[in-house]
Amino acid sequence: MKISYAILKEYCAVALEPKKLADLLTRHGVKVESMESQGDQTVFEFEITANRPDCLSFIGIAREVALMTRVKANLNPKSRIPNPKAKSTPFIHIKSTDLCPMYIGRIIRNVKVGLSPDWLRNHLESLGFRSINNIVDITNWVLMETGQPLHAFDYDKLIGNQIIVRTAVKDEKITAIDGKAYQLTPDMLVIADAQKPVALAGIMGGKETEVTESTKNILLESAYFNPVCIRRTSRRLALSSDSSYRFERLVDPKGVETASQRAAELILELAKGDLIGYQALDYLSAKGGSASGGKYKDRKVSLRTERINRILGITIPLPEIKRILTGLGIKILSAQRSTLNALRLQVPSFRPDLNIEVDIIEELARIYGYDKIPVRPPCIELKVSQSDKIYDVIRTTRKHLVESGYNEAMTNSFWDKGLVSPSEVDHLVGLSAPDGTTDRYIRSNLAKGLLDVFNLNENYLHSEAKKTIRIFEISKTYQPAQKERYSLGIMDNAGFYSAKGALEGLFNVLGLKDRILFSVQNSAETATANSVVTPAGIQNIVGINLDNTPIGYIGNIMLDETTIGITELDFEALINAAELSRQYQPFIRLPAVTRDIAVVIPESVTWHQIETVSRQALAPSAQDIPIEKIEFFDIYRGKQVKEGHKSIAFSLTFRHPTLTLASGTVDGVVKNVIDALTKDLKATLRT
Amino acid sequence: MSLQEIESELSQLKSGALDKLAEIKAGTKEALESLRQFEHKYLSRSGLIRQFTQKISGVEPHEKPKLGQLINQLKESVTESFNRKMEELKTAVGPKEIAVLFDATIPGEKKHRGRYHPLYRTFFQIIDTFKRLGFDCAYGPEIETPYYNFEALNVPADHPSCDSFDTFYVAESSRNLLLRSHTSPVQVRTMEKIKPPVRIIVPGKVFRPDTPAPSRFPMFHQVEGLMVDTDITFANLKGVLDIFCKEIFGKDTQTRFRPSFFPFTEPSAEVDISCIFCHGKGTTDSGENCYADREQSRPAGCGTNCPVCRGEGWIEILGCGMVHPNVFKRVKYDTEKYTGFAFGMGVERVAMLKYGINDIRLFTENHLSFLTQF
Repeated sequence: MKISYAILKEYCAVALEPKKLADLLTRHGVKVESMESQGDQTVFEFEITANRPDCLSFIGIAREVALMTRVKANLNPKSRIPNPKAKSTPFIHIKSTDLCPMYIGRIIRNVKVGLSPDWLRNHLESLGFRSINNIVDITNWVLMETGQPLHAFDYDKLIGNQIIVRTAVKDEKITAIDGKAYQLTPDMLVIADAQKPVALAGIMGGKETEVTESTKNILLESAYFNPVCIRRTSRRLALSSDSSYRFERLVDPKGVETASQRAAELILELAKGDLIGYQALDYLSAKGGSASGGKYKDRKVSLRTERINRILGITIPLPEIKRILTGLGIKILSAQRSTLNALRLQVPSFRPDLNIEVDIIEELARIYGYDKIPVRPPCIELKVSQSDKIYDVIRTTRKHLVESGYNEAMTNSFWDKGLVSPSEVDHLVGLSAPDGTTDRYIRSNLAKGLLDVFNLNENYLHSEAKKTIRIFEISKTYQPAQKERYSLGIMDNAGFYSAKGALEGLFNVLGLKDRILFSVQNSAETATANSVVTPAGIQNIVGINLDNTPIGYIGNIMLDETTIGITELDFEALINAAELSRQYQPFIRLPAVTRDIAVVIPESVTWHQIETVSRQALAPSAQDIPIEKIEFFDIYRGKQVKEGHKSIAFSLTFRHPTLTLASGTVDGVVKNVIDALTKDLKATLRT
Repeated sequence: MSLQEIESELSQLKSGALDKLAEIKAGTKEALESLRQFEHKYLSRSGLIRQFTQKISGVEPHEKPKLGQLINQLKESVTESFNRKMEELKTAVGPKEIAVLFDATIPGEKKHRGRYHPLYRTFFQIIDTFKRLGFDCAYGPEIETPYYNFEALNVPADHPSCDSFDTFYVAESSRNLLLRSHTSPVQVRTMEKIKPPVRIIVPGKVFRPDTPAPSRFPMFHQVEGLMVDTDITFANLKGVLDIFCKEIFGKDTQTRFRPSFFPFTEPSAEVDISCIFCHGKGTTDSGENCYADREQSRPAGCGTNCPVCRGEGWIEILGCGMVHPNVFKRVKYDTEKYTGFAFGMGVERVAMLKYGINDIRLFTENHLSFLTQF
């Protein structure tokens, strides 16, 4: 919505300089989006919220300005013109009174279509309109002045010289004034003559019946259309206009007639001609109403002054309340009815947004000024915050991973259609495009996005020798049947063991160390079936179980000749299971004895086997020489180790609860371990 | 071995030792190293002098004290000479001979710590600010029903006011499911579950069909707030948000409440903060605030419009209002008894302002050169 300062001055006695006026309007709810200087003229452009159709007109803006700056306003278009005395034969027929409950037509004969006078042309052009001819310019001018869209038809081109308001018939088409052809469907409302549509009702007129230089007689339309119908048609045809914009937001039912009168008057003045026909059909306010019951009645609202304070926290003096209400066009029907200090109000027809008490309170606050409402933090009862495990576990996890060297990432929740393979589609939630096809999906896992992050950074860091790309994300993933949950994904270009270390550390921090099992047997299928969707190409995949339930996987994936560790977990399971509280355990203060062992073993032997055999070998002597921990620390394959074998180094730590173990005392048990490894796992001691 | 023999060995040892010390010339390169070798040879635990103590057991008992005494004297005398030599070396050593320079200018060892994502940093900063004010977090699904996303929030279907809530619909769900376009559905879900007083914030992800551009992305984050009790007013709303803006943007931050429109609040407001870049001046250089004029018509001598607030001096930061009675009716709250306020903000916008980030797409790109700056 635009208005120039010069136009504004014609409707109210505004004197405030434009800059200050813009600031004032913005602070009181009529937001000035921008100001433009055109010579010595200032043009304001407003951002009018969807609830304020009244402000989509000069008169509406002037009403606000007059009220805010406390000046006089002239909000009624000038004189009225007499309707023709002779009753014309009916020329308007409404077939869909639900979609068009009001239609007023005026027929003006012998008009002289030509250039508009300078004042009209200049004003319209300052607002960005192109001047067409005096008739079209007048309809545009009155639309801007009153907010009521109007349309002028070339009367002689209307077959049968009549207007039929009806829905479109299947396969009907119309070429609109914009020169484009539109295919119509039966739920779209059209203005038709005896044969075919001549306008897209409330949106745009037809090319064939538009007013041109050769037009002699015109039919002036002013109507009230169903806003939902206009909106749907406008969206479907991707065709929006100043008219449809206003009809969608509800025009003033009482303004339909005044705008028609105003335009007719201007036409008679500027294009001459005689008003020879007039017909008004009104199913909205007339008795009988429209079938849909959308009858217009003056709305009445009660306002309790006590309630103003309840909502706003401020008392507005009664005279000020009255000044504001009156200025807004609200009638005060009775003051102080009953003991409630209630005002009975009648809301003007141009304010469809005012329906209940709080709507009126908002208007009072808006005009009185939000600035005048004090800044007062609430006084509230003290209460303990609820425990919030989602928050606690997410925070703890982020902290652990960041401190372990991982960068937090945020990847896109959407996957484009082109990036999804047909086999993935079944496990994905699709989103429909406006045309009804599925054009994108929301992700089923985080790993895919994290691997993209690797690619991006790998290319960038290519030349750097020491590149670590370690990232994680905690975010939601989605699966069909309305399943969504938090997932944790980690990507680590130092590989599987680095990522595994991060996870083991995390399980420790979350108090889940003893409830987690990395299960080699539990491979990809289990991970996918029960917990987390795995992207293609993951090797060395290992299932992760929490209390024997699969919650995710960890594995390696080769990208750009780098082996990347990747893991994804059902984070919701971790949130539920996490135990963040701690219990003190007494500890032994006596010194420990530690021995490092390196053994060469066949490739097929796992660390888990070595650890198990070692523990078994130590069990008999555990009473006297208790083992505290067995720790892996190195694996080596290479020249010094024979083919098909590997060297594994680990340490044994012994500690006795009451005795200081002498260094020599563990020699025997260490030998037992080596003997057992030799016997059971074909190990040889590496020297 | 007799005491006398031992005595003569001791004196040989002594003269040998003293000769060795004399050979060490202060100021030479090898001096310090030779002196250390000397110390090891004579004075260490396994050194020559110590070895003599073992010989004490081989002499007559009455001679033991005497021998002990002799060994001690020897040790003292050699130690003293050694110390003297050491002093001599230390003072005589030229600059060339400072063996090791402790170079404190070498950078410390790198510790590999990761970084928090700037968006989530801001997200948690906002959450924590409200938690400190006594708000609890509430959570809800991202795949929502139209009821919670629109209807229950008084957003009419087919009305221009839902234009700002353009929505993704889940395919093949006959439009029964959508991706929530705001966090407000959780207001309703929470009020359905609990009676007033309500004091919650709703942090979460929301979705709107936008083509990615510097200022918009189809996925972003919001933090929503809701407070309902018997005596909650607009003045209280101003109080809470004023505290919040000062906490997040600095204690000199001014707030401005402007009337606006949201279907689920009445009265509604948009909150602007004084521009954190130009401090509300509207200009970057010295000069008048010239927001009334666009670039082409700026008077001479006027400063450049602040690029962040476009010369306005104010930045829009959140939307808020008093909960609409229709929303309360949906959750069966007594609209006469209870009043409440709600507010919501885009976290990306707050983060972009705080860190001076000019493209929202940087957040989801995850370039390490970006991530490691925070």
